[in-house]
Amino acid sequence: MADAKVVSTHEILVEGALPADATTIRLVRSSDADIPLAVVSVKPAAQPNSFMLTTAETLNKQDHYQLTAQGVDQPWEIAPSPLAMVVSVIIGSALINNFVFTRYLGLCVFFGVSRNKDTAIGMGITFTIVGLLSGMIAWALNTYALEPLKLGFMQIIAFIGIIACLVQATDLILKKVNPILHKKFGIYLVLITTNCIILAVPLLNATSGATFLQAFGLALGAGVGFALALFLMSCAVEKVNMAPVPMVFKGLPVAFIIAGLFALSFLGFSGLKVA
Amino acid sequence: MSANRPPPPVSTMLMRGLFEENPIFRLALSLCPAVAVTTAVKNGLMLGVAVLVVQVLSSMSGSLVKHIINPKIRIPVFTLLIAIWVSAMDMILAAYFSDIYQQVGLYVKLIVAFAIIISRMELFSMKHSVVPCFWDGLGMGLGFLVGLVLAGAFRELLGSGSIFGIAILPFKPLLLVVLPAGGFFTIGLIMAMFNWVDVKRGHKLPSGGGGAHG
Amino acid sequence: MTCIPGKPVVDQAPPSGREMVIIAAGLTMVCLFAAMILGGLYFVTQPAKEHNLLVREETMIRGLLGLSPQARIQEVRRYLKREGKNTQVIYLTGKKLAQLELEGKEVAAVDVPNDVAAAGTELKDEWVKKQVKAVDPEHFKYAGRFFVGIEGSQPVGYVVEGVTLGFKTWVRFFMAIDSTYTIQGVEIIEHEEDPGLGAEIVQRYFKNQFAGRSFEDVEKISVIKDPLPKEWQEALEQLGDMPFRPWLEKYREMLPKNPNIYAITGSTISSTAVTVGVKAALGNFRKRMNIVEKYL
Repeated sequence: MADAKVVSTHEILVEGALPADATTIRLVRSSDADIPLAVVSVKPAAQPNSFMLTTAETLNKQDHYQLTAQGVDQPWEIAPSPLAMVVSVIIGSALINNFVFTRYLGLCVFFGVSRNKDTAIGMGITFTIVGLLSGMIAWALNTYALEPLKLGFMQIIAFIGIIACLVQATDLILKKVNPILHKKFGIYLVLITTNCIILAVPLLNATSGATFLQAFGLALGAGVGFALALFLMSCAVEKVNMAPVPMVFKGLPVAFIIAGLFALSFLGFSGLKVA
Repeated sequence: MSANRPPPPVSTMLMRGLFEENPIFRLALSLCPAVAVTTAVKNGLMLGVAVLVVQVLSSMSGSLVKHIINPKIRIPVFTLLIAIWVSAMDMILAAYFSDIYQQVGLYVKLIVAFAIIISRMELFSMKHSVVPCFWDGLGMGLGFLVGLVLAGAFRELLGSGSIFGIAILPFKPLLLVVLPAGGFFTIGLIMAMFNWVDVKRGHKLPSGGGGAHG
Repeated sequence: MTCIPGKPVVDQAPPSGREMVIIAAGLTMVCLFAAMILGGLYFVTQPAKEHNLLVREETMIRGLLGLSPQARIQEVRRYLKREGKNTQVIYLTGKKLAQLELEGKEVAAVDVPNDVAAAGTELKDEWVKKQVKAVDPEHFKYAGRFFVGIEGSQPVGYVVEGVTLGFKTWVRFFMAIDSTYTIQGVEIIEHEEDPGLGAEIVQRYFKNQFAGRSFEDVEKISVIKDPLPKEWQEALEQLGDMPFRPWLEKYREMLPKNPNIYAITGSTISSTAVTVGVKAALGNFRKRMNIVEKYL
């Protein structure tokens, strides 16, 4: 099938033969297939054998469109490319909706292990890997078992079980296969079970009915975002520990204020779009 | 576990959760919801009540089953008990309080990962019978509820100029506190306030300042 | 340092085979027990949840349209069915199930039995699926809905459900329209915008800015960043305490003076998203209404 994609808010690049007469072309949003969008003009594009379609209405790159034309048998399906979608989900969950700074999840572990840069890095790496694994297993279980059997009310128990088993299994396997690595990262494995991000990811995926790629993006993005937050925080805390902080603010209160400042600066990421 | 000691008096059990060992501001446990849902008193109140109910029920059921479970699987069974009560709470709230549930739904489900609940079961339910567990759970739950409502009231009043959605002030004194970042500032300030009160009362601050760091 | 002080980190002696079986059996029992309790609770709360959702929607629709207690609300559901190159649009109203070509030419129309018309959404969807012989469920999907407010036997207004991509995720809203395509009010049902910023779209001073605008007004509307004039804000706060008609009579002359939507401070993207959504929903509804009117 010939390719077509949204290139800007009013333009679609179409590969293949397209009649030059704009009135014989029918462009619709897939979810509003009965309402044609007005096509202003069709012009040959710079690329060979392609056309540039200009529309009156604003187009959205995340949306699905369908393009048909008189005399052309195959309709064009316009959908966001899978790679772009995954990247946008990852960036969305790591930066724009960072789990720590805008959703306030995993704060216990976040404040607990962000006092030292090395611990922060170790925790960040361990969490990203285990979070990705558990996110994908939970997604598969939810999509292929809980949803079809209408057992949605068992979600919480099922997800908790998966996470606990996975953490235990990783711990055992790591201990046998690579004791040195286990010595370095084993302690973080135990802490992971108390991190609510690891439970929030499958819950969010289940609520939104995510596809495989979206679930993958969210799980990876959550892990990366948590690791990033942890690393930034540990850098700041190491400095603050040497500063004269008022007595009643020492320890957690000042850590909260720092986290607030980070959260403010993360607001700057909102509105970030993947081209 | 150790032999049953007589439980402390009811008033001690209640007050401990409210102030000395306030789960949010002193123990710094289960902080996520304290920051996340406190943009309005209503949300804080709802989650607080949910936690209170789950805490009481989990503490009591943990105490009931402590003799019949194999100590090796104590933690999984406790987690499972909490998960049952949380799932039940989640369904009930979704059915009967759908408008607030929309805003706090995710955090209601995440109560299952709240360290405060399982730590109370480990520290208290294992050693005491059902009735003291009820009071201890009630105290801890109330401490959590009060913490959430306090933070919610502070943020809603300063950020939106209202309480329970009813406009009190004709203007918004400090929009910052309801913004996503404001939650961190609010909790940091209230924690510092708790410390300050403690210092005034002549107590010594625990090393490291606010609470035991979990 | 861990969050669970009692969590055992010490190594225990590995359980013997017999003990392991007992532990596994015990855990299985507990899980089964949990599933039974929760399953029971699910069967109690699920109908209540659906019922309360319906009641909430109905209250909102009645409020938006200012219906009398005797008035009836009829849901109209829209589906899309795709087979190869052909797409059909299907409307399920209170009386008819109409299968139409995309341009509006009728393919088939059958009467809807009373029990289906009164049934819940899931049953309705199943019935339609069977009627139109949708072979592949991938190619048959629910695409949207609107509600008709009926006083006596006359339609007095419509409530359209729309979605628009907000700053964070989707924003779902209800928009009330009278028979001349003038907006009577907008209500945000679901959103995940930031509190204090985008979440302000639910406030009267924003959502009521759409009320009283005709189709032509909305076509020309745009979002501006000027501060909201004081007296206009006071007028907007009135709608909701006051029904739509008297409100429009009282403040009619203020509408032409404020032809555009004043964006929420700091949330231009959310404000624009809602405006774009309202514009599209109104335009689409007008086009669809020309086709579906005769099946109501």
